[in-house]
Amino acid sequence: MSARGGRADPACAVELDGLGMRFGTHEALHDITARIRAGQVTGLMGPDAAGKTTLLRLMAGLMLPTSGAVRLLGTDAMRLAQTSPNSIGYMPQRFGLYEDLSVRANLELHARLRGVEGEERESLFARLLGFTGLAPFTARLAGRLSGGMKQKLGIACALLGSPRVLLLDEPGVGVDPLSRRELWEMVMSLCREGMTIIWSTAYLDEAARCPEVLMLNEGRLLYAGAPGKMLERVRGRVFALRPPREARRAGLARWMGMPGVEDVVAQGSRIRLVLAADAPEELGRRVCEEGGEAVPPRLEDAYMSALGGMLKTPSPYGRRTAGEGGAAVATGAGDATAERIVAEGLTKRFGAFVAADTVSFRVRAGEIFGLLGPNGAGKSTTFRMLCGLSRPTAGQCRVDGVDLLRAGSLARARLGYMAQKFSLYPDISVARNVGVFADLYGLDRREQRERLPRLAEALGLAPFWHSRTDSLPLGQKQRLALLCATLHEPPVLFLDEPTSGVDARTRRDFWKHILALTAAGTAVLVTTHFMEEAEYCDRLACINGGRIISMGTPDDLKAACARESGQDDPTLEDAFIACILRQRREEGRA
Amino acid sequence: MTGTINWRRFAAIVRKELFVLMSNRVSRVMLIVPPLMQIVVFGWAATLEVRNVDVAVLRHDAGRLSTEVLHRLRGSPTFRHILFVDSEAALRQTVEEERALLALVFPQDFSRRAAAGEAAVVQVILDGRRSNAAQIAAYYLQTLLQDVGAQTPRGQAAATSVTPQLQVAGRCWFNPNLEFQWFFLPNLIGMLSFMLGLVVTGLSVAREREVGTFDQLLVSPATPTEIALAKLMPGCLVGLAHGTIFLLITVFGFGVPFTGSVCLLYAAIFVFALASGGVGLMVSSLSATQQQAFLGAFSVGVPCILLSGAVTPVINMPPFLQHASQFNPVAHFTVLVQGVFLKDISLAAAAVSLGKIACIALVCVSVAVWMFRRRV
Amino acid sequence: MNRFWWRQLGALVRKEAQQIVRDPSSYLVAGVLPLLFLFLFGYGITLDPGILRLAILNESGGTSSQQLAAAFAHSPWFAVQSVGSMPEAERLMRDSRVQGVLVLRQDFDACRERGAPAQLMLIVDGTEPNIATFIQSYGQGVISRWQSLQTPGSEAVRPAVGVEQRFWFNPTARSERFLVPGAITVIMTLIGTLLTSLVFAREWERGTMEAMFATPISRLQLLLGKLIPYFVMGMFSMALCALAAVWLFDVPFRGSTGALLLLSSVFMCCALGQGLLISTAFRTQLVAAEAGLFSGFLPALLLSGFVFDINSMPPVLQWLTHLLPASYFNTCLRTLFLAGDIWAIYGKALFFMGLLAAVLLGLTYRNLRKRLDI
Repeated sequence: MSARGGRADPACAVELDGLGMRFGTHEALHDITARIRAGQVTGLMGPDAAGKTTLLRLMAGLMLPTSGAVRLLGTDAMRLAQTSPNSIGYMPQRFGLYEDLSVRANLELHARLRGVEGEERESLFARLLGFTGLAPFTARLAGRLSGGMKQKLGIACALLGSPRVLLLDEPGVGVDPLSRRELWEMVMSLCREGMTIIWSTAYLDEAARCPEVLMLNEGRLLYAGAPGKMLERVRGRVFALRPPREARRAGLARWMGMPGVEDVVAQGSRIRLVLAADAPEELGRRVCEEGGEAVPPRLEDAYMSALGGMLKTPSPYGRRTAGEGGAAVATGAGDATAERIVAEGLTKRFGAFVAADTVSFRVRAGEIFGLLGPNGAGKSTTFRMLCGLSRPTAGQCRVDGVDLLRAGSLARARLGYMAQKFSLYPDISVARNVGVFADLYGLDRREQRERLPRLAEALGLAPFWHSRTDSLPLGQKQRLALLCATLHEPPVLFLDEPTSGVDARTRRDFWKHILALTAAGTAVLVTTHFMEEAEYCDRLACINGGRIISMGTPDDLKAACARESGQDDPTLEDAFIACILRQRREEGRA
Repeated sequence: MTGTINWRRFAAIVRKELFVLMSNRVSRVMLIVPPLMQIVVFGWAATLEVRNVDVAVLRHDAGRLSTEVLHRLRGSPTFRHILFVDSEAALRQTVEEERALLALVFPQDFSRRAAAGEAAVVQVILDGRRSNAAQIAAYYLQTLLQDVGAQTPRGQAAATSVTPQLQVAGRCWFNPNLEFQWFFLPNLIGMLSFMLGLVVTGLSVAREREVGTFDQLLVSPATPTEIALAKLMPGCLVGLAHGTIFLLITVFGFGVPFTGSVCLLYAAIFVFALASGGVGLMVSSLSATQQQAFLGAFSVGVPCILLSGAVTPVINMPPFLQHASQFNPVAHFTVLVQGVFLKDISLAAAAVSLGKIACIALVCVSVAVWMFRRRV
Repeated sequence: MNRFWWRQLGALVRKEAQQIVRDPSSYLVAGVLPLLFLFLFGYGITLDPGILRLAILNESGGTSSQQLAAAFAHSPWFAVQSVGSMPEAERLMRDSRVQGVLVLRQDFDACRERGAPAQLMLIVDGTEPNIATFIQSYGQGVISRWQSLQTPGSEAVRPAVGVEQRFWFNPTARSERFLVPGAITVIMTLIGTLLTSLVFAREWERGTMEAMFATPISRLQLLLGKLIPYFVMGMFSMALCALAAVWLFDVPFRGSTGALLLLSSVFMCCALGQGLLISTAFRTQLVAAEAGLFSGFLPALLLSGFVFDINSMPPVLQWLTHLLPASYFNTCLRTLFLAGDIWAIYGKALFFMGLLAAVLLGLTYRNLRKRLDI
């Protein structure tokens, strides 16, 4: 609790006093007391359903708290929203844009509603459009903008009243790293002008950049203060291992199962470990024996530790092939030569527009292949062609040796698909959803009776088995979608931005299952915006403008970036951005 | 595509459709409210028969015969109130303000002429704004006046003097008392199951597409043909269930005779439900959002129903609409269902209609499957 | 309500108008559906008998019977078809190829010659009672006219109590004359209710409502911002319908334009109020659309007195029609088009429609809380 300052503290923009919010029997927020400093970005982080959105809505004066008080700039939030609405800017989760109106019309609407008129408006428009880089697109419909541009437009609309406090609800979801980086720079320059910004996020790298953060979990405040201080809690408990390339997967699986380990995550060829504070001494020794070196902690490590580490339940996948990790790798290596996904010269044209241009790659059994690219680069088009949702204009695609174009049904029986948006039937129970897909994929009754309960139990879905699917929390939905996609143990799994908007802990759990599947020989194709996720991939392809602009292991990409820019130890995000910028430069030259 | 249908997958989708249909509050309401509403409104209320007619009377004649006419009016079940007015102006106002559907003007010499054995004439003014009801009411009035006329000296003279040259025997086949409900309730089965089939099937695809579950189905081994056929089934089952309920209500509740074969009726309902589902599927395969599908279903459904002959006969329509009705499944079904209920239609005639409905179903489903594939 | 307030409202109205213009479904609902409905009720649905199809089974075959058959054939109401036997006639009836059969018995001509009462039988298909009644009465008409022409002293056939019948407002008693104004009522209800029932639901589903709540607008502005553009759109459709009715369907227009404007404005407020109320009550588009259909369109179609006469309904339903703005509007439009301005009718309708509009819009206003937690 950084500043328990007096009420008249001018440096304090938002005061939360014993704030509580209850919806029926569900307690969304419980006794939150905190101060948010003026003139800086404050990160609001926490897992799904932690109460981030509720807290922001309370600050925007859109709800009346059940107990306690929210004060913005010394005034009650709801009063302030009525008396001086222009001092609060609020961007809701899906940006709140009218997608069927143009960029200019959206801006004009908000300007008029906030009483910004005449020359003042024109100069503000000019400034905001220049600032957001939207100037060339004013006539375009908001719905036709890419995710990153929608984001910026959303912020521009929220900025029209020249607010003193800007509330942003998950602005980074579904936005590529390049746009996210631009967004951050925008926000920083706003801060320099003295604006207070509250930025809710599930991405911890975003939160880590904030001078102060609030961390929520299940409606309670876990931490408030500088992220640096939070790091202190895990300092000395974070290690990096550098196992041989082929043993990396097995290593991940092994460490995940070990008691006393709070977090295990892949970082290219390295494995990052966080040990529990009460971990036995010998564990530390063992880490050192295996070549582990202590590394400086990141916010993510601290976050995972604060939530009590990753979920320990073992993954039900992959066990039928092998009792333990080592054997599974052997199986995977056994048919590593089998090419499970083959894309050859895939091309998709929409009229004159080429969405994908002769995309070719092969994915082997047991391999995780990632497709990276900014919004609208042709990633989704390629992905949809590969799983049979879109017919290529030219080229071939084979799944597990079966031509998707000739024997669609047969090929589709061999793939599992998890859509970006949760897409199972919301009105029916979990059990029925699973049953439908089990039947569709031809599992017979006996198999269903034996396997489904076991899988449900292992994935933690058993308590929800008979409840309506749309009543599930986001993390459970994710697992259910995975369950439905993998019921038939497909040799090929397609994941479309599988963990966007999900917090770090749920994501860890998700990847635990994916790794178990690949250990059993499943080939995985994944599209992602999220570099954390890309780190799990064996190989990556960067797509931009419909073409593959570079392909290789995460370490290859990083190395290429380091060579070019001379950056020391670049992150994958740096490498990705360097890739895109290099292509843009080349195109500019051509 | 292998072309053959995998029945297990088909059954899985059908089961899922039924679960979704039954678990969704909206669709449950949709299955219950409109049928109830329609049966209440049609079975019991809306009728082209005319009752409760208010009559304005301007009586320049206070004689015996006009009293007799008024007496009979009061006794008739068709007429409700008699409003006496005392001037042309008041009469005009009464009719204009729709306080009376028709007005009677008895001329001064009405009773006198009748008593003298001359022809007496009463003036009847009808409200043309409700010309249909007025016409029917006037027909009742005429019958009533004829009866009255038969008792006048002239009437009695006519009865004896004029040798009856023609004796017209009127018969009504199939519906001897010309009950409106006998006509309308069987038709209702078609109207209702068409609208339901259209909406249940049509919106389910649009909804799945918006929620994203349609992609999930398309990446499963199920083929577009399987998906399309399975999507038709809930509509058929709902259609059969509603058909049964309606059959029971119309026959036992309203006493409409059922002369044909029950098997034929069920075959007809089944094929027709396939056709209406097919139309729904086609509409929704052409629309991108739920709103579009809804408006599409509405713009196709309402004309199909109104032009089917279920409300007014097809042969009264202009020729081009009569030709167009060949493409309207509801029109064929109306012919069938009326035939089965009231006329004991011949198997050959029924087969022709059934065949036409089946053709429409086939074409619509093919278009829908083709659209699904094309979108892929 | 200063200038700023009006500017904000203007911005909302403009936004809504832009959305309407961009949405293809608004053209469908405001332009295509009205014309389609007018067409359906102008041409497709008619309560008048068209050409009635009659089979004549002439078992006698003499001069007299042929004359009578010819009388039917020449009458403007019947299309006649000769049949040779009763089973054939029956088959035609069962397959709905004819709607009635006139049977002239074998002894028809013989009886006529003898001066004895001749038997003839008019069988009608009762499945369509309305048509059956028409055949009976027109058939009787043809027979008596033929008979009177046969009888030298035609005076004898004039009835004792005759009827001199006149239709006011609609002398030819054509049903489209009153169905077309009635159809306008249904169309206006459709536009008002169906389209607006989706508007708030759509904003909730797309998340734009939250953004609107975060701006300094009041709920009155929010409400008016929706009401005004759709009102204009409804009035546009009204004008379209009125013009089409007069020019395409030959319906007279005897009232005044001012009255039409006033009445349809008040009615439009009712319909929009109903649509917006539904829209604020349900937050998903599908439910809202369903509710719009069942509370707006169907009652307007069935209970407004448009096709089915209100007075003939059972008392409960008659009472229900008093709560239905469409039933008032329907009466007014028929009067306006066919009879001319009759303010006694308008006055009552305006009072009740105004009351209903106030209640509906008031409830909508109450439902539109500018907060998310309720």
